Amino acid sequence: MMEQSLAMGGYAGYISVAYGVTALVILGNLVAARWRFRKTQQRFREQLSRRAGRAEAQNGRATVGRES
Amino acid sequence: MWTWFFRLASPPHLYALAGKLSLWFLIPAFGLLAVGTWGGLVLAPPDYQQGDAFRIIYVHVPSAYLSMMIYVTMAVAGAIGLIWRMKLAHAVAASCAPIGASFTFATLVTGAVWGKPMWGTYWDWDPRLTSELILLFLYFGYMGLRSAYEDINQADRASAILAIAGVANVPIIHFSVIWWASLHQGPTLSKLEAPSISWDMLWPLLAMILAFTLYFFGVLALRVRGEVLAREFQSRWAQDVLRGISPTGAK
Repeated sequence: MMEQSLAMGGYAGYISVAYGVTALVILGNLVAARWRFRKTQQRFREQLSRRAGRAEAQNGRATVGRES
Repeated sequence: MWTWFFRLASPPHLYALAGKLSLWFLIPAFGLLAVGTWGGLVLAPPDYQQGDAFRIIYVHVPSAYLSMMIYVTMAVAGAIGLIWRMKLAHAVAASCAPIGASFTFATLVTGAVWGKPMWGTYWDWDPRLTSELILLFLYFGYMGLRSAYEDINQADRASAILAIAGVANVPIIHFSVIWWASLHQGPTLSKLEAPSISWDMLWPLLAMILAFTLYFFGVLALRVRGEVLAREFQSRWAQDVLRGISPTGAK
């Protein structure tokens, strides 16, 4: 009985491919959207910290210049 | 209404709104997906002609509907971007394209595996199938065109024009089964009279269509956040967000 219903009248292969591909598309879109968002955040955070580092170094040089 | 519309043009507002909306859409979407899948695979009776193969309808029809709905959303967003020069509308349009392309791909694959046992072939140059394939190429063209430009403003304008021109394909897909002789079956739900499908089979389909729609808006909101952040990186609010300060001022 269980085997019969899982065989889906002989169409189980086609049905599982259709549902499998759709599940992959659904999960893939979600993972890709989250990954892209995190990557964007990370890329710009790194740029911000590099900028802050450069600004600090410039301030340091300016202070040393004034002192000498 | 217009105040609400123009508030969407404010990047920090849209960024904050998209962050809230993504979960509000995604949680019910996954609940409905579970209910619809159970209803479609277990509760719905087999079709008297197609047997259990008809159960592919529960992923094929929502994917097909989404592939067209996303394209129209993309074209409308592109048109708003062109007419009102609303840059965030272009961000929405750009975020639609990969989601739409993936669901068009899903439509073609699920259609092919449904076609094999029913028509005896995975593919036929039938008007419905061919116009859906053209839709996939339109999505690819849109994404390719965007990435061909270094200047984001030029990319926005050119891709919006392509999206608007390509929207003519959407009614062709929809009406192709009426206008031309087609292997593909006629519309099940879009007729003006009552649907030609029994309620036992219909409710899981409606649940899946609603689930896919909610899912699209949830993923779109996630993608729009990233797109807005990338476009607005030079602005003070975006840098505050990256430092962990909320765009609306709240910690």
